[in-house]
Amino acid sequence: MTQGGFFARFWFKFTRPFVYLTKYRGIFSSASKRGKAAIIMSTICFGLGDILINRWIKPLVKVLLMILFVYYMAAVGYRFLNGSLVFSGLNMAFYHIVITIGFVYAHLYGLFKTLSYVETKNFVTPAWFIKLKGHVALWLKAKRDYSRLWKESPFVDRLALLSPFVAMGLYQIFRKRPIKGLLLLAIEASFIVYMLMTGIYDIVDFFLLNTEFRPSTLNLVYGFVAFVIIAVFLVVYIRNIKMVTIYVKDKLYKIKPMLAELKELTDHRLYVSLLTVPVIGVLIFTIVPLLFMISIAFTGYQGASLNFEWTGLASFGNLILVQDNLSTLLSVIRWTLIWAFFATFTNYFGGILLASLINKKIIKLKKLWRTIFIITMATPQFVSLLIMYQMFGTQGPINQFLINIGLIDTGINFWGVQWQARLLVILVNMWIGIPYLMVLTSGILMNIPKDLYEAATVDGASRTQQFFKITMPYMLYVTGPLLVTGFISNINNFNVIYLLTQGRPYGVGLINAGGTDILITWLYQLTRTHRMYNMSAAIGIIIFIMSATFSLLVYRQTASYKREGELR
Amino acid sequence: MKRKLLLESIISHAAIIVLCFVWMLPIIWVILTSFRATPGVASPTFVPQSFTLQNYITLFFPTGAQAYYIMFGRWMLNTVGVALLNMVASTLFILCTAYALSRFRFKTRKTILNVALVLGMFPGFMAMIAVYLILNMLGLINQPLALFIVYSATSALGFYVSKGYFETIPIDLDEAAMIDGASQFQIFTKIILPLTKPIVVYTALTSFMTPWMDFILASMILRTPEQKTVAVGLYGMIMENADLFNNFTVFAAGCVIVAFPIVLMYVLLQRFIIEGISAGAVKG
Repeated sequence: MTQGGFFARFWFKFTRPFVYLTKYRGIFSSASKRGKAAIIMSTICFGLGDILINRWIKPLVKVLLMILFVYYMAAVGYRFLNGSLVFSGLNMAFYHIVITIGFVYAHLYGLFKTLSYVETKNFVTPAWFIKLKGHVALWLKAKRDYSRLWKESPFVDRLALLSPFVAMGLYQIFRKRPIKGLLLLAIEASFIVYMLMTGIYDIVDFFLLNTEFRPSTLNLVYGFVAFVIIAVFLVVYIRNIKMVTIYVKDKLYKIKPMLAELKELTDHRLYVSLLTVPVIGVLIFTIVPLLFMISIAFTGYQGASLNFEWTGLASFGNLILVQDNLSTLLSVIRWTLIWAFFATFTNYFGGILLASLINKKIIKLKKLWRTIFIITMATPQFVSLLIMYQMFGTQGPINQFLINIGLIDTGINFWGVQWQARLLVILVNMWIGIPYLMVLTSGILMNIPKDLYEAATVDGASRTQQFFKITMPYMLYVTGPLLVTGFISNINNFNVIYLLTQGRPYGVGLINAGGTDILITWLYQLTRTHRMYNMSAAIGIIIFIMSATFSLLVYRQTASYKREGELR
Repeated sequence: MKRKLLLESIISHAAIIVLCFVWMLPIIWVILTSFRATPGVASPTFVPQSFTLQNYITLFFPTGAQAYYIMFGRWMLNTVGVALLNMVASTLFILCTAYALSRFRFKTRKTILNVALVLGMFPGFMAMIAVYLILNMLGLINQPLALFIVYSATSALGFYVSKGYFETIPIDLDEAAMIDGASQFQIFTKIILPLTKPIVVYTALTSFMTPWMDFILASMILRTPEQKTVAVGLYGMIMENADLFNNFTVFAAGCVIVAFPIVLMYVLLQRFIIEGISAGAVKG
């Protein structure tokens, strides 16, 4: 907060690449050979030079972007400009110019990054690489230790070392821990039986996909279940090998009896017992279904037929390369972003304004007002949304009121016109969301030190000034991450759009989408009404990429991300 | 100076009254509509000309064609059942997950946190087709019980608010108890949980609310009228059937009956809700 205003900082960051461009020759001539090579590489290709400065992931992404951009330019980009390729209802030349300017700027920014690294000789290896190196070193050491142990061991110990590879639990039985040993043995036996009975076939069917014995959808689900079971077994199996190696190496190391280990589960290994059931639940009902849907995007699952093949990237291609699909996708994405932006900010600022109004010193009956807003918050969303839809309907009370006061003769179809419907959706969302934000921000507002306001009053600051110079910066500082999470949850805000309009009005020149459809409701329509499962899965992945990039960009800047892990 | 203060007070109060009016308007309209004698959405006046209790009676004892798809009593029973079961199970799962992730440091902790973050970025119902398939395999389609299973199984991902709250309880308490010989389980149940009562109540309340609010999953799984929850049932009364004219006032009565206990709960448990919501806010 102390480094000047937001816009000043933004401007400083924005113009840095241009500033560095003027220093290009100076930095280049004074750089080492490696630095020179990095600068040349970054000049030619977006971000490539950073590879020489011990950075890997980001340059790879950037090079990928460069390839995509060049491909786009060669394939369609120039045709937008001269107008030989027109997408229905979209000003593609405008998009093209925006994309080009954006990319050129990004290229300059990448160059500036490389230049600044070279200038400061900042060739630091990133933390994750050092960590990875540490892991590899540990693993190599373990391998060396193991082979030494093998050489030094007598025959019996060698047998003991080999036993967990063949049958888990034998060694534990040998060392007089029969319950534990038998349990491990039973796990391995049931795993082998499972694999022989169905597991192997499930995995083969997963890859073949289109088999006659059962629908492809089931092949996918059973396949993922098999993968999960194998992964879990491998974890147990490898852990057991490790433990047996430790037992053999150190004869004094007592194998804990089963009872003691169970007792630990209520004490310092309590987290295992706390987490087991929730993790299994999430695994079955969130992770496996998600993997399933992600893989659906790469199949030809459409319509009523449950048998389909792997089709690779075809559904993404269908989404992007078919003109009408692309124009629908772009316009739905645009409305999704506009919606998420306005829905988040109107609620956020509305909530703060309302909270500061209610918390004013002169306001009487604070509790009453707050309760009234809590009542509207408590009304189940589907009730209030369905009611709101009817209220603004052609026969609804709003139109009735307008007719009664003589402003109009017949009811206006508010939901029938795209811009009206969109505006109403945002307004109704304010009705839904502001009370919640009011409750949320009230507590924080009351935490703002009172002397700040007193000092400001003494200095002659007006109420408005105080709001913008004290309240808002403080709130933004404390609840900044909330804007990010709010934005993402609004991108995925199904209820408000669907229960209000179901995406209507239709017939606005979009394929299978209405005028207020955001990505998530479009996805729903494609699934439920049109049964284009692979397309909707592809859209789901696009939504994921959008929210993931956005939150990664912003989350990493927030205090909570940086602080996590240093708590204790 | 005094006059200026008075003026400000009048303006502020006027503003707040207008806002309250705007916010209460739809609610007042539903309540009035639910007592209206003439059917249909349209009504020449905002306040009905004649009042009746018939809509509430129709809701529970429908006659004629309406008897085939309005089963409000069943819907309420289904929803309350799922809600109660879900309240117990989800609260347990959420609190356990949050506690484990806030108090223990173990190898896979970071992984779990990151996976939870990534899972949160996928659109919620993207996985629903697969959930449908899995429930189909388990033979649970068109049964409210399936809703309870899915809600509680996936509830653990909502651990953030409680985790943040647990982290505000100083670790010194745990250490003191440990010196006295308490096991971690005893620390959790006897020391931390009683101290975090507001968040326990808040979690229980939000879990209880889930089946009342959820529409997508329920509409996908529940097919026949007698298995629906109130959300799906009420939606069907005015959306899928064309008979909006006859159903609307009955629908309004249903809305009032559903909303009333929930609103009452919110108002009575205001303190916990406010605490819970603001605990979620100050994660940053």
